[in-house]
Amino acid sequence: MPTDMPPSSITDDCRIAREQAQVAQKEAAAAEEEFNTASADLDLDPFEERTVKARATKRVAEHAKAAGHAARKAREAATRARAALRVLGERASDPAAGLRNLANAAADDADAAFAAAEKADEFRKKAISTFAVVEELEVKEFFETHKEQIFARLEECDRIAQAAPTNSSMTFIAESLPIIHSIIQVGTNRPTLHRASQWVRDTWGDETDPLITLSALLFIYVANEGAKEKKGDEGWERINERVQKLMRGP
Amino acid sequence: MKIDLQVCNPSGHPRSGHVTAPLERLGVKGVAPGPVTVTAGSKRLSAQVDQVVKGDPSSRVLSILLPDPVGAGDPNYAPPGFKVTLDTAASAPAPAGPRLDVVRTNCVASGVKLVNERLTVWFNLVPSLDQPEQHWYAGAATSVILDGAEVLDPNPFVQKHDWEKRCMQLDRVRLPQLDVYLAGQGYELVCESTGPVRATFTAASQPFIYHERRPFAASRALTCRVYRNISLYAGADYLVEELFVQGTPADAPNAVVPLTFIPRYFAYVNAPRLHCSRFPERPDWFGIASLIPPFPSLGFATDVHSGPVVQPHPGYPIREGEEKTLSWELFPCVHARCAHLFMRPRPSVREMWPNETYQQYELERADEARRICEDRIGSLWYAEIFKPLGLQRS
Repeated sequence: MPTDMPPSSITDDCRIAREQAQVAQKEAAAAEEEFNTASADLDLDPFEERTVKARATKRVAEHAKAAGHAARKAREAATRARAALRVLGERASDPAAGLRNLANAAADDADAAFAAAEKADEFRKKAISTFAVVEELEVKEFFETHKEQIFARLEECDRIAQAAPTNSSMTFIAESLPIIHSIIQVGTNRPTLHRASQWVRDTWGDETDPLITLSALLFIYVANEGAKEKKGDEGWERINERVQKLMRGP
Repeated sequence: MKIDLQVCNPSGHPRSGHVTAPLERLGVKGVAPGPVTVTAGSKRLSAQVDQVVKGDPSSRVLSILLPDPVGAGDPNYAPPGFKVTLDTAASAPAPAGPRLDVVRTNCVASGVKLVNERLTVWFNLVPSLDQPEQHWYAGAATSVILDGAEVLDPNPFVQKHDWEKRCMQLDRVRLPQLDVYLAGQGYELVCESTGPVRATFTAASQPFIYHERRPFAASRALTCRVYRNISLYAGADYLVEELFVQGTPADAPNAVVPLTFIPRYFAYVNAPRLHCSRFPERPDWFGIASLIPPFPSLGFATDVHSGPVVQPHPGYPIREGEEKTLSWELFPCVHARCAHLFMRPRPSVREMWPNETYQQYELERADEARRICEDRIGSLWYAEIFKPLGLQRS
């Protein structure tokens, strides 16, 4: 058994961790830039604006995914470096202090990479929740046509939830979900729903349930629109706050 | 004349509900259809007699509503049971019960609406709805409203309801060497009655000729009809159906020949993610639940075995929506008693756990809805089909 590990593998891993951390930072910055494009008021023709925003939203997701990937690679490299350093420490009486510092720095880089990846993921979620789902499902027109009916139903659900002795937030969600699902069922068609489901799987992974995710995102969109339209209404502020819970994963 | 009867409860626990028995089996004759007087001691019970087949007094059935539980009894219906007395001489008031409204177009009954406290079902007797070019709705329940909301299309945008939605449709009846397709043929309303216990009607398909082969005699031509007797009981969220095929020989028009047949049911439920819960070791019932809120669900139970549920229905012509179609065949039978249950299970509402994602939460609720559906249809099969309350003469 060798009495010491070649220090070059530790330095390589530390270098990889630093590089991947820089990649993660860059991807996170790019995600933020794309998000700003996707959420800005562009002075364009509506169809063109929709296309630009949809593309920007997709790129936010791509950058977030790349940032996450880089962060994972950085952490793996940092872990390898630390493990190699431990073995070296057991076998040699005094491993080079420089190597130890490098490994610690690699661990810090990996943490920073993860922080960047999380930030990028937040931008991704915000971008998607704000408008992408309506574009993917092609229900904007249906929603605009039936907005008053939908808002009235949600207000009714809010009254039911307020009267519930416990679990008023989840009672509101349970009572309102049928109307949200019906917007998807009635407002879209089978090919569009299939494409939107694929978009969910591409964005969040194959383990994600497309219908549940689409309904959650649409719910957030509807709640946002209602809160915007009925600004200052205590009921709608309450509705919006309850619906934000749905942002917890995927 | 006072006739003593006994209500037998085959279960190990007290049960209330309704009990039904053919008058012929009870040895009772001469009782006209309508409300009748039945007493349990000094207490008057809601009861009625219905005629199932027109012109056939032997098809009369007595139904009694038992609001108070009857104690546990012998699982094989052995006496003693709960004593009730039928008074054929006394007149009975007609208290309100489930309602039956017949809609006629050009003197032909085009549909029947059954209404009770919870359920409103529209049953189409003719092939078309409002559009003449759509002519495949005969024998289907095209609208089922439970507690104020449509089950077959739960979306609240009523004007956007799917025209294809329907259930309980007898799509095909199979006899030896003959398949009869019924969706495009009208039904004739042959009997109808209401009372305090139930609203019931019998519809008969258009006659068709069947050449019956007999092993020790020459084959003969029979004029056959498929009979469907459908009942809605007071307070129930399900319909009970009795199904049989009868033929009449050309040379003996008063003779009735019961035939063995295989019925096939069809349903179209405009709800996403339909899940069928069927247990092969118990092929007499199954549940179909949508796993998306508000979880509209159907249940089916029968006293003859049911084959597997096929989804989508084979040969359904409209590709968009085929995933919403289902069909199933029963085993060969001479007479089938079926229950069609409608539900909207309400899973419990709780706060999400700290590390629980919304997806996990919703999937658990959907699973609970499915289990509620299974539990309900299994219980109904037991209570209505497998071990119903029994009625016999003392």
